Amino acid sequence: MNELFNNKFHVETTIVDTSNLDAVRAAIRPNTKLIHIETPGNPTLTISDIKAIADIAHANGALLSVDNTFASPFNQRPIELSADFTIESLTKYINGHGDAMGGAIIGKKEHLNIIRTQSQINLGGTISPFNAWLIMRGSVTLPLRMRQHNENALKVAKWLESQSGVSFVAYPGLESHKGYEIAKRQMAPGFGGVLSFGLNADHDIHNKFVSHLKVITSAVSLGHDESLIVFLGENDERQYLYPEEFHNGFFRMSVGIEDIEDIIEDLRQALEKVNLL
Amino acid sequence: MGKEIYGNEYGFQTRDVHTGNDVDGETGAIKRPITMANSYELPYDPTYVNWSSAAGNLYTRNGGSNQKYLQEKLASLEGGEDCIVLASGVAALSGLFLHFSKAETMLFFQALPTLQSIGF
Repeated sequence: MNELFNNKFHVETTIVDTSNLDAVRAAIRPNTKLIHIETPGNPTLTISDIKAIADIAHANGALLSVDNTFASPFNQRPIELSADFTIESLTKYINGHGDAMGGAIIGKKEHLNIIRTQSQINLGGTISPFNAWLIMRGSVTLPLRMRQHNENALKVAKWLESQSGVSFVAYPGLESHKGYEIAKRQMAPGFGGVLSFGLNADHDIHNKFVSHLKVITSAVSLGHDESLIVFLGENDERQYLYPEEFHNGFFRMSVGIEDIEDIIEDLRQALEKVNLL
Repeated sequence: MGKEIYGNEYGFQTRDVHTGNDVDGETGAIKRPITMANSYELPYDPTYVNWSSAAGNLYTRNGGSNQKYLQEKLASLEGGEDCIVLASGVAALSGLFLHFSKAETMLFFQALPTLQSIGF
């Protein structure tokens, strides 16, 4: 962020853990114009308190934008919680079928009119009609899909938490999650379909585990109809930003809308094959 | 905009199904078609046209019909006044951040935008 915004545009950026409100307050400077958060955060599933951070931003003459991609508007609507902007990657839950790409900014006309002229018309970031049409069609079933994602992910998270071969599970719908109370307040009716977890195993066992999966596909992105998993190794350059338990390599899993019994059985048989059951 | 406006008196799923859709004026189809054309007919005297305008239908980089239908729906679902749909999630993030590029400070949570920028 710093390279791009400071070196090219002379915009200073500060990275803070926004699940810690004191850290947010401490990072505010007289020239702060925008606080941008993502909750649940990628890939740690950290929860930030939208309303509380909106209040901090507004008290200091700044605006708040929230990346809502992990929750989708079915589970969480940041603007109703006093945020000024919502960002969505439409590629994920809103399209929901893993076959189109798009993004959205939602907010007040006074800002969006300027952004539309600059980023879309003058810089050319416009979506193609075909992608817009695909997303329009995919989004019709968002509530139906999200109910299933919410339900399946909670079941997978609870099942993983009960396994001795699993080192940790990060999912905001688990009572063990640090942000559970805030998530319960600002996310309704569910906590989304993405979770992260680790294995009590070395690097290569993680790859072996993935190679045995039959229902869950090894691929990035999330919010597709099908379950996806990605192994993030212990040498990730962004690791210093993550909590301790993420430092030995971990999986980010996007729980799909398949039959829950098949998803759990797929995880179970793969754990068994690497002797972690 | 469709003929019917589905306001907040309607539920989330109803707005999701109906907002942005309408009967196609030419064919009577009950789903709006894809308009792939990248340009629209100009008025009798085009010298007065603002080529950087997003109002009306002019040129698809300035805003396409299918994009506008989707924007209408998403503004409704998110409870916002307006919406811009762009080519990717990162295009949306950079569109917003560039808007504040006159300012001097921003804050980010845990480097998420950099994660997305590598297609994560």
